[in-house]
Amino acid sequence: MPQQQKNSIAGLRVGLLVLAAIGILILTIFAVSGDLTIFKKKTTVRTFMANVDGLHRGAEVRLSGMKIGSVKEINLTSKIPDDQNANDLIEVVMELSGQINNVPAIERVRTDSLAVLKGAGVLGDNIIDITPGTTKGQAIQNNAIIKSYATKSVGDIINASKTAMDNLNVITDNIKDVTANIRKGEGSIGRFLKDETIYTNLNKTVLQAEALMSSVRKGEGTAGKLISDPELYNRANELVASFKESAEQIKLVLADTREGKGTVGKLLKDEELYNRAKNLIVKFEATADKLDNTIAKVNRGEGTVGKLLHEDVLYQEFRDSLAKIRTLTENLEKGEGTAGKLLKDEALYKNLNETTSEMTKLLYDLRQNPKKYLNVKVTVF
Amino acid sequence: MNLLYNTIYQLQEITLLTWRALRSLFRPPMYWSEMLKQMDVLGFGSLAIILLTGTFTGGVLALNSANTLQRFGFTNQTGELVATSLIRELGPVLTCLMLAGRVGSGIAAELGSMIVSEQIDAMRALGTDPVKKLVIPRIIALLLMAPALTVICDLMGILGGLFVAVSQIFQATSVYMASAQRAMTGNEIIGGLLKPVVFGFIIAIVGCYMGLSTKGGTVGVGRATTRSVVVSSILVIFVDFLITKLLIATILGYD
Repeated sequence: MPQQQKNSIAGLRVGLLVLAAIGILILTIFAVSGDLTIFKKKTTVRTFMANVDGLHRGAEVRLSGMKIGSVKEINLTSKIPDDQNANDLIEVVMELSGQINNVPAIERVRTDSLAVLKGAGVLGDNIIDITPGTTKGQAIQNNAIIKSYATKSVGDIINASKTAMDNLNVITDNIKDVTANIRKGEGSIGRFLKDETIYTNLNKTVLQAEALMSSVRKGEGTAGKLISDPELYNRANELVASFKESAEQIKLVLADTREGKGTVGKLLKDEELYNRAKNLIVKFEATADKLDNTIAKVNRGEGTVGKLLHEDVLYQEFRDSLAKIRTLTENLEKGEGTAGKLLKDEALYKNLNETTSEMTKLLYDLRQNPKKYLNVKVTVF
Repeated sequence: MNLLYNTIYQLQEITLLTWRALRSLFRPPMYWSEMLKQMDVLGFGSLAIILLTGTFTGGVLALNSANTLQRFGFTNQTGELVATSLIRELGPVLTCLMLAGRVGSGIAAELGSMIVSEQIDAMRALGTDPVKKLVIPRIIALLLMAPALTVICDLMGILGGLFVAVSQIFQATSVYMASAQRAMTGNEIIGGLLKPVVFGFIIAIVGCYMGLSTKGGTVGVGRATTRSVVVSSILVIFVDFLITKLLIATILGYD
């Protein structure tokens, strides 16, 4: 080791230099980490709040979430407020770094900026967030006062959510009742879940549908034939074909008709039939007129038919004749008179009957023995 | 006044010693075998205490942090907390404090004895630069070995924390490891390796200076050893504070 001169400052030049260098290094490190700000120009901004909710000195001050400074002082103002909602009770003094990314802080925090008290996290510390100013405001001066804006604290939110939670409780109770009923098998849904008949029926239906489908696939029954047998199709096809043929013929007929060929064509095109029919109708009309006149005459009692209808002489005579006929038939019934006896008296019948039997015998006998009766002598001269 | 004078004087002497060491660093002759021997003695020789220190520190850290995190329901973040603490702070600092105690004292005692027994003067008489022969190998060895041992200490600490998390907190291994993995970002590791390099240099240079400035026979050797441990430990913790401040301001900070 080289010998050093002791007890003289001159012998400590290197040591002092190193000490100074270490001191500067330490200062530089503190300056880099932002703790040493004696060289920076600061801007002080003040705001008034109703409640700082546990904000403490040194808390961060952010501009749109970016750190630009810290809270320097929190003072309770000396004046007694007029009412409970006074919002200028507490003065917050903030110290902003003079430059934010090479833009002066007073250019960014303007007179229309708002200081908002916020929580850095749900459980974290409170900070102050300053909203950026707009062109409507002016750049602030040092020691200027900006307005503050109160946000809802976590406590406020919890209080507000209590009502919602109460309602939710009621809703969940209701749901609990409903699900309990369902579990007990009450109500439509409960029955649907608990009652097995619906399942059994469904199962049967499915089985039957399966059987039906398989028979349909096999081509059994009407539906099966409908699906698997091509006959219906073929017939329908033929039918359509014949329809088509008919339609073509009808078309031809219609074409002929339009040209005035055939009866229908003449009917449509030829005027002769029309004329004749017209004449016929004229004659009909004349006849009908005459008939009308005749009927009018009859109504008036004119002519034979009129008299027949309107005068009752004929009727009286007819009635008298009927009375006479009635008397005659009554007499006949009683067997009076010749005709009556003829009808009623059996003597004539008997006699006639005997006579006819005798005649029959005679005729028989004649046929058997003609010679007995036909004893004709032929004489030739 | 005398205390201040002595402090500045020692600072000056250490600076001059450092300067001489740096100046002769790239000049032949190079004592490679001596460097390797010092690495073996200083580095590998300290492995056992580093392993033990790391393991138990990690375990204790896991126990304490899990106990605290339980209050907030963040027990599954234990791995991240243990790993961050170890990589950033405890790994480098504990390793280097152990080295200051074991190696720094050894260097001071060895060189002090050589001074007392006038071996240094003999060496100089034979034309060998004692700085080159004795100081540089020790500085190089600690510059290389301190980060290596720190890495091992970090690993053992994380494994010790894992053991505690699994056996005492009944946490799944995957939960702890996934959480610990989140702490291992590039910047954290760079910061965690920068510290032991600086600390290793401090331990070596303080130990060498204290040894070489021994005066007054065997009593002086004892005093030099004690001072070496005290000064290097205090310097390690003080410089650690400065480096952490610088790292947070540059690569490890949140904003």
